[in-house]
Amino acid sequence: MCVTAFASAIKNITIYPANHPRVIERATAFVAENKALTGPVNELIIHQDELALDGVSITTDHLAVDWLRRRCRETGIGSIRIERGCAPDDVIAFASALINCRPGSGRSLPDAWRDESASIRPVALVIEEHRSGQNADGTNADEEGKPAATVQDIDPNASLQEKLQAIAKLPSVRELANAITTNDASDEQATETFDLLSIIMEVLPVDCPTDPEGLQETIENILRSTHAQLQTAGPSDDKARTAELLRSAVDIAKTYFGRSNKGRESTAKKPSGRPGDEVIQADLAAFLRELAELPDASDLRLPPAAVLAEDAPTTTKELLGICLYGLASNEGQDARSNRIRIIAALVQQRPDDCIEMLDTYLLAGSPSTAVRLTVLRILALKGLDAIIRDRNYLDDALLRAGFPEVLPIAARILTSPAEQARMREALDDLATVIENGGAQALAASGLLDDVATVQMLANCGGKIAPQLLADCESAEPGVQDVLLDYVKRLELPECESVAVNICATNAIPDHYVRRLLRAATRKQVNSAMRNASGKLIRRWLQAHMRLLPAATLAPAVAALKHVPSPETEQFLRELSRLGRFSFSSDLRELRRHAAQTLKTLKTKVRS
Amino acid sequence: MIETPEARPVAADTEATLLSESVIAALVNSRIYALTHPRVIHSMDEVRDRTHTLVEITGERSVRLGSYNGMLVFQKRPLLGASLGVARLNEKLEEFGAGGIEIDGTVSTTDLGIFFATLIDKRTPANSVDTCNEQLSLRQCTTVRLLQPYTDGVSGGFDNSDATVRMGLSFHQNVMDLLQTITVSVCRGGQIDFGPVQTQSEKVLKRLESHGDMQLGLARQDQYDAFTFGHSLRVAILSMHFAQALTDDRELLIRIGTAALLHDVGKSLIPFEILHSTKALDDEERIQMNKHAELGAECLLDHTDSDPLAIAAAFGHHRTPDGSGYPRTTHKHPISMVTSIVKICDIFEALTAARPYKQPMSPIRAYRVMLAMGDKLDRKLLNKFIEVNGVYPIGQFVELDDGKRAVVRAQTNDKLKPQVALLDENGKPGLLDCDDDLLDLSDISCGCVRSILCELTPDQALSPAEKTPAE
Repeated sequence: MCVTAFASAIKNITIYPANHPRVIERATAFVAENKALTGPVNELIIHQDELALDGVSITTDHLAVDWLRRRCRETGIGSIRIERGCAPDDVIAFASALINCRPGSGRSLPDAWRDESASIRPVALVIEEHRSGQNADGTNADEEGKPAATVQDIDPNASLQEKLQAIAKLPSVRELANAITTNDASDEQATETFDLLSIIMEVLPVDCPTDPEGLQETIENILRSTHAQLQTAGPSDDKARTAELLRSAVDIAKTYFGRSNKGRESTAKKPSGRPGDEVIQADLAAFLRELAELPDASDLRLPPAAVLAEDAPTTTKELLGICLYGLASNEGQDARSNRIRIIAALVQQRPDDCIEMLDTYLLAGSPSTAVRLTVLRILALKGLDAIIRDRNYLDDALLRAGFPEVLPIAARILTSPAEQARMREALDDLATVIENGGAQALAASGLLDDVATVQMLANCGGKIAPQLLADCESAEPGVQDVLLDYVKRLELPECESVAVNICATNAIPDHYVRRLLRAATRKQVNSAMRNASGKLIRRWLQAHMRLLPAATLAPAVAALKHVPSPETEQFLRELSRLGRFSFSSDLRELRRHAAQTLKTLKTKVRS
Repeated sequence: MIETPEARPVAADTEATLLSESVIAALVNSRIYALTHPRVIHSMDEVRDRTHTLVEITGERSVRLGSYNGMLVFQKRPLLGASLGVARLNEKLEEFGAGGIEIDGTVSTTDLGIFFATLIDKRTPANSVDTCNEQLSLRQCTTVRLLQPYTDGVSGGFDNSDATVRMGLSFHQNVMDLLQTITVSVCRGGQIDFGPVQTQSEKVLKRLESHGDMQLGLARQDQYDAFTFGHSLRVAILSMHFAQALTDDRELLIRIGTAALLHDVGKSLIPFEILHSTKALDDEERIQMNKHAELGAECLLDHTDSDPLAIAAAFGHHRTPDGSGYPRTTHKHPISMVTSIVKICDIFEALTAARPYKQPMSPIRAYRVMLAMGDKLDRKLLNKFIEVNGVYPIGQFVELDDGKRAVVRAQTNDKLKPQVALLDENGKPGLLDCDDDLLDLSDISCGCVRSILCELTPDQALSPAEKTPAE
């Protein structure tokens, strides 16, 4: 209805500034409705308790309309002339004038009105009568004797506005509203300038809960909160109190409802904080109490620039922490390399300042073995082995969890016999739980190409070391030498032991060493292995039988008794006839050893 | 026919500001993404819809957005809010020697797409409005065109006298433009040039020293700006103002300002839909959003010349001393005092600023929320911040116990009685540097003892004044 829209547009000016979107929205809505009316000028007449638009009586109990009627009477307006082509700005201008006109100032709004060309203008009241049918307290005499309305009486199918109006008449709602306005009763003039319920309802958006009970509860909550806030606000002059009441009611009402309008203004009805923050109010007294409990900050100063310099301890610690976190949480190779670069620079420049943060990420309980290993590699790279040792960053847990990647670092750090014993124990422990004793993982890691790692494994020894080294096929210089040295230290069967110990390094093929390591792992030599050993021995004897003394050659000849093959028998037979016509005692001795070994071999074969 | 300023409907201002922001966003998005990208199309749709709305309000056939003296002009008056982020659009218009854009009420997304494509096309001849408009016609775009430059005669309609406002605005535009450039660069995986950031930080410091109340008034800007850079600038202003009370070292102050300007640089890498969500984020989106701190630090770590203070602030401004917050770590990390300063200012700004999904808090309520955070904030530092920023911060609107409305201009020894500037009946926004009607509430020598009754929102403060009884 046009009058309702007009009243609503004007009523909003009591709450919002003229440029507020809600004011503009309501004014625009009225202008649109007004354009739909016939005639170039329409006159809204205020007569007693009635409003009439162009002679047609308006029957509505909308609170804003009632407020407009009362306001017009207070300001001496008999009617309002509204041109069909009026603009929202005209509505706002008229509303501002109506609000700013003080009742009882001795001058009515029509008297003070200057702009006769305005498209909305007031016309002086010429008929003034006392309202009939109304009690002194403002209640309607016609309604006396009727039972009090309840929320159940409200038609659930009624429009939102109708429901709101019905709720406004409920005794409980009225009682709360009266409690608030009674507080303000000291200034009758002030209390007459607004209708609290009308204000609250103006704020209710169209999409608010529509069930009558929910609405009643909401409105009662708003009224209670408003009442409580007014009481805590303390005494103030009446004018300020009236304004405060208006704002409190509106602000509280706003917190109960959202708003669906688009645009920046829509934030006005949205919550101002997280759900938990809503209970915290802008209470100055409470704030000052809380403030007094804070620690004294009068002496607080920022540290000197030197303390916050790029290479200062605190900066180093903070930056190192960020890089370590990033290393732990980011898989991106670029980011990792970047952080590694920074960590390397920091630990190299200020190792002592880094200890605390490094402890956080490198000591037991660190979330990421990979990060620990990466940082340890950086420390090792920068030659900070002492830190790793002193802080025990390479603990047993990491030796187990970090296998096999931990091996190069361990090779560098764990150099003492005691440390190597720790490593040996860790490897042997690990072998009991990891598939293939870890040999497969180690081979796949490529670490068997690293001489230091191989050397470390060889040095540590232990039950599992032969198995770990058995897959080493590295062609890296020095690796095979290390393996051969290791193999020589192993407890091998006599034949193999003789073979590896008498032969020159370059005469022993790599695959023979690997097979030997596997044999050591299994503690069992198969025939192929044995044949290979026999071949090595035979070759060596062949090359050295006339050069070396019989005592030196004897163990090799004796070892052949473990290699039962036609080739061995043939070789021993030939050896037993070597230099038969010579008077050399060494050759005689060699023939004797060969014959004895051949005899033993034949006995073994027969048995 | 251009409407006179007096006759402009109030709603037109709001809509024109929104339209301007959409135009700027469309231009920025067109530069970053392909024109067929949903984000670009969404921007164009917004421009179209807001143009439609605006022509309905003004009753005119088209909308003319002018650019004059670094400001966006609509119907002869500057649009202050939108002008904060306008530098990039101005630059483009200057390139063509244009004075603005005219968008017809019947504009379509297709036409807007052609228009922005023409603007950013390097082959389009510069320095010629006519040539550009011809190009648009050739491409069948008839509903958007460039306007000829304003002349003094045309621009005479708006208030040109307030040089301080223009200077402030120009300064803000430069900072916004810089942050926008950084965002575009980071989005594209490019490098950040730290030199200009430090320069702007130094300028913030100089302006704090020369126009402190105006700068801090801007830091209390609680209107939602469509450009998230406003937040970074406001945090920088707050941080430097706070740090001024803690050190005299200018170099350190500039470093702190730089750190604060870049503290949210990681947001450049957060999906647009999450960053500009107009509703509260769900859990999944929140996780994504929370990554901005880590991403920011990572981005800065990529630069060999980035200041560790900036890296630390970007990483740690959502962390707490006990290791909670985010990025969440299983260990305690040291949090430097500078990071804590940026963190406190960041929280205060976020609480007191409007966002698409929330309304601003009053400073006192924001302080109480921060106090309720307990040990998650450095309580000693928080105490100092409240002392420096004031119970009623500079730029805060208040109502005095005599019913008058005022804006806080400076703090005094009495934290509850700052120096205020009374507002006239029309109100003056905190942006203005007005020394008239200054009132020291702590000064009892004048015999007129007044105090602050309550905080006011800008809406409340700038509503038409009621006549007050004579004193």
